[in-house]
Amino acid sequence: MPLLAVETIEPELLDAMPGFKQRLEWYLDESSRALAA
Amino acid sequence: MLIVREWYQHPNGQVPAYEWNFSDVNPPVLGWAAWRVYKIEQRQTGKGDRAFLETVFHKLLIAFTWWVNRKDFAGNNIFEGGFLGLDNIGVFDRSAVLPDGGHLEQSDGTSWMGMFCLNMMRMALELARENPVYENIATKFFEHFLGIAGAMNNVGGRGIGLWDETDEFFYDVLHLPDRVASSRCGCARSSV
Repeated sequence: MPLLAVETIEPELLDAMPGFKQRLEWYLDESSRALAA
Repeated sequence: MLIVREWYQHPNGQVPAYEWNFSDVNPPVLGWAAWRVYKIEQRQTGKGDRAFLETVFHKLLIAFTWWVNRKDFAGNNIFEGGFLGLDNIGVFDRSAVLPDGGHLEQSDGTSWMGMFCLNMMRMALELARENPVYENIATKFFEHFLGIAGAMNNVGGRGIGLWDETDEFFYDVLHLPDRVASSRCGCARSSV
């Protein structure tokens, strides 16, 4: 694979970041909706 | 640490490439390096040096913004950077201005910036464990990463990507002044 950039966020860390988690889930939901439209 | 101190980092955020030419550009790997140093110390001593991580993070915020403002010619999340200190060889001298006024949208510079985003996001999340203010900036880098990843497949929303389905490889794209974006330039690969 010529280009690869990966970072993992463990559930424990995500659960400790309520503001980040909420925005992340909103962003992914909205992006999915926009792509499906 | 030294390279992001006031006597090396330019007020505009640029960090020096190497001792024989501070103004050149190298891949933005300081975020990756800082995170590695933090994690190694954490593993060895049981506690990471938060002050170190926070200090470097703030300086790298400035360096990141320098990249965004100086090395994204078209403002489309696809970056340039010229010769980035590696030995991958292109058809053009990437550090020179192209004679016809065009410029190269570089796959290497763009992927480095994608990685820089993830490094910054991860550092911000670590800092947010003790200070929730950093959650906000972690979100910024998460979304910026997705913006870069999306742009690689669809530069400027014009249906041109850096990925070549036939070759299954990322190439640079030539941006000409009389066209919004041409097809990719001569496909050249090199390895060291």
